[in-house]
Amino acid sequence: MHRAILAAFKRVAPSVSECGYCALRIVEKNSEVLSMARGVLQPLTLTSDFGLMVSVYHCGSFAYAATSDVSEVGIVQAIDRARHWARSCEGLSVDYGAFCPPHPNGDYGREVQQSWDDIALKEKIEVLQSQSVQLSGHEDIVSWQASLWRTQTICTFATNGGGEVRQVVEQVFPSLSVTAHRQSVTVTRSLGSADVSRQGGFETLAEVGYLEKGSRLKEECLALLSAPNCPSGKMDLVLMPNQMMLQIHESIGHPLELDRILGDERNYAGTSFVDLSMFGQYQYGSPLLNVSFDPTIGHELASYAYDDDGQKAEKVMLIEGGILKQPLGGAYSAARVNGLSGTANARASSWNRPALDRMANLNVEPGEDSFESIIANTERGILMDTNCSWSIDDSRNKFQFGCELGRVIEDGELKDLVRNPNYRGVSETFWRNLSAVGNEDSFEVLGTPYCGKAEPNQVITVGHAAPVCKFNKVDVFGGEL
Amino acid sequence: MSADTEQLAMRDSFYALVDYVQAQLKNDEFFMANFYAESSDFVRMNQAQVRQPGSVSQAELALTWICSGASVNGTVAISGDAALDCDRVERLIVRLRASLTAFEPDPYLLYSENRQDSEHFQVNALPSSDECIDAITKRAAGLDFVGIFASGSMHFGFGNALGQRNWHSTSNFNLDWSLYSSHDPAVKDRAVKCNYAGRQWQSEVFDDKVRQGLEHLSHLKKPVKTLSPGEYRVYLAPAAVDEIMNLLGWGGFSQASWMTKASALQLLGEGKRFSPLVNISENTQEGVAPLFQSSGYIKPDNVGLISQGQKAELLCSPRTAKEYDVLHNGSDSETPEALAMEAGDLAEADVLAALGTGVYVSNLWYLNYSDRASGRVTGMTRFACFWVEDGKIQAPINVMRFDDSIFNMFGARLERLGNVAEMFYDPSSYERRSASCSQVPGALISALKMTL
Repeated sequence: MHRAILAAFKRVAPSVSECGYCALRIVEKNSEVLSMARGVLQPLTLTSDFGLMVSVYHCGSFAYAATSDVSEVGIVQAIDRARHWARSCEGLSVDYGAFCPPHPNGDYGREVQQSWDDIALKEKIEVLQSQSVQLSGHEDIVSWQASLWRTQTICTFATNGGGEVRQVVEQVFPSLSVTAHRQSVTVTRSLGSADVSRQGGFETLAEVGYLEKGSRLKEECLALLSAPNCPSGKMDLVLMPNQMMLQIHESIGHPLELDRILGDERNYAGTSFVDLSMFGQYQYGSPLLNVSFDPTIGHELASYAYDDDGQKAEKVMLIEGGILKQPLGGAYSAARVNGLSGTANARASSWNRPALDRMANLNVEPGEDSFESIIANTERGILMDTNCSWSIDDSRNKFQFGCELGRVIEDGELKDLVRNPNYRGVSETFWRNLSAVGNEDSFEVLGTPYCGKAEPNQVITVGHAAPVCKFNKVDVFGGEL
Repeated sequence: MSADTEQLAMRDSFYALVDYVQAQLKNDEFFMANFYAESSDFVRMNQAQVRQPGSVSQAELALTWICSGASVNGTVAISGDAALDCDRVERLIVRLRASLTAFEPDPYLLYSENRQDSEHFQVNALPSSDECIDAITKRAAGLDFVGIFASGSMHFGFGNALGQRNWHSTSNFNLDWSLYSSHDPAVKDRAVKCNYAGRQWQSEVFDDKVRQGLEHLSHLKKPVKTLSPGEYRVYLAPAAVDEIMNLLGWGGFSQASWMTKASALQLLGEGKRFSPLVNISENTQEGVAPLFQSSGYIKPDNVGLISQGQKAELLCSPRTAKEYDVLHNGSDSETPEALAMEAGDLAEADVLAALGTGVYVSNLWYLNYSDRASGRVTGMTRFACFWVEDGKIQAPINVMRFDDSIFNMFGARLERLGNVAEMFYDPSSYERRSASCSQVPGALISALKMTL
């Protein structure tokens, strides 16, 4: 069907001389959700979404129209509507400066070892049943859930200047969760908002350890029930990769989004403590901090060859040796700032939302330290694992995050479990206290389907890879009051 | 109520599609169909300039297919082309039937078996978006105005194998914006938050809201005060209370969450209680969302959630009701869609005097649970928040984090509630425009713990 729509677009798209730039983005997204809750198989949910967006850059204005009517008439109406918006906003638009419309040609698709569609429904259900059994079976366990969510997204991008890109992305979002309750204490262990999500097929489940994870989560959950509340005080903080992903996301990723820095998001998602003058010289973190925008790691969740505005995607270092180098800015945003090069990170949640600056894969590069040496070199601290609470101010500076599981570190050794571990800090100074970065052995490629932003609102997938990291003198505390 | 041509055409195409589905039924099969469509304009603005203007026309049909007690769900995009849509639906039914063979009877399946038809058409009185944008850009010229204008129609439909048909068409606009002081470099990050939403646009109302916003903005030009961590007397304006209610709506009033100990209000009745001033209900009859729900039931007009500080009912879906052998009240997500908190006796004009010395909090932001089981919540102040002394605004404050128990805030430390419960139309638009709203008053609290 994409070919027929593409052919229709080529017939009816205005020429460059008529309309400047006109692009078509067709998105077909098929998903399957299977889950077991408290030992009961829940109804399967299949979703097949299909629609297109026409965007134009015309009369100095960007504008769009999206429709689920994929007929030639639908395309014509969308072009007319987008052009109407562009014309009516002439002279009212933000200044896109030197925006240069891309007309790319290429494709993207990662070969999967086991196609999701080739696996019988019964086999997937057996995986869930197995995990459900592993998670359950104790009188204190009040809730347990195992889910498998898979999407296949086929996107065709074309322009009135001959650009044509086809990208196929297969994503798997496995999740597990168990909650135990005794007296007034309730604790949960989980994979953490599907944080092991990746691109791939059915083989992903084995790659991320999903098939044997349930028993361990259950054991940890029951152990947490008897664990003391996390102690309070200034101490060293060791974050496992699945909390690092949240830390990176909230206090590096969002502040570096160029549209936030330019003020587009001030009414909703917020602004940024970073301003344009900081690039090239600001000490964001300690010299150990190296952060990359890397859409090239094949199985990471948000890898692609071209962003949704047609820019070719490449790895870019955003922070090197702790110094801030580059923002996360797509073509339209970068064109608004003289002398700043962008990254290919203009992304849309689907056909019905326009692309804008998003994180894709945003990673902390591995360092030199083994996990064992990080622990051995910690006199007094807390290790935290799996995010469960996140809150940060609108300039992405003052934050407070909580985890499901904590473990006391004393005199270079991991000691007892603690529950409700939380910490708070300020992005501007927090990363400067980065004192150890784990090596390749603790480096994990993770991802989540839940990053919200923009007006109209969009939730999008992001990938985050990181090793274990240690921060000095962090304000740590527990739950209750 | 009379319907317009677009509404009738949309309804008729949905009914025809459901009839087509009905014709596909085989022995002992049953189905439920839920339809959603919207036709919306979205115009983003930054510094009173247009950033991303656009239009979205989308529609989808969700089917629940049931046979021998087992059920599966499927959703397809609806294009508006009847032949293409029937083909998509037919292929979906084939897939759903094939999938059903892998499923045992669902022990928690519950749906309405009494046919209850309904139709609700709200007259579309919206002007063209062009007219609104013209009015907005003219009034906002020269200001640092940032936000979004969303406008258009929404349509909801339900049908099932019993022949039940329900339809709900509505249209509204939601202009959600902030005014910044960026023309003055010393105070460029300070802003006030404003909203104008409804079914009929009136430029004079919009102008008045901008004027009020500019008035509040003038207070922000004073030197800023940075609070030290500690406990402060606070007045939470209705928008701030609304943020807290949004957080509590995340599982707090859900029957399933209560049964699995996941509700942040779990301790209500276990030694904790709110002030008797607190009365909260799900006031569906005053909401935007349809009265019918996805399993064919008609929702009650009102469900009391908190009565005089004590737990009353919970929002309960048919599925949860079957699982825990309780009665449901037609909720789908067990999240409030039309939360209403009863007003108190504190007049707006008396707020600063009643606060005396403390913090006036206009807006809160990014709330979350720092310990869900004990009802402890954290979040940030945002936009125009002020330090007040002896009933007079002294200075805007730097953003500050609070971290406190919900049972403190709305328990013994709640002194008074505002005498007007302000209406908020939810401007959210994740995947689709929200049909939720809420109505809450401000709250005067004797002490709130600020931490960072």
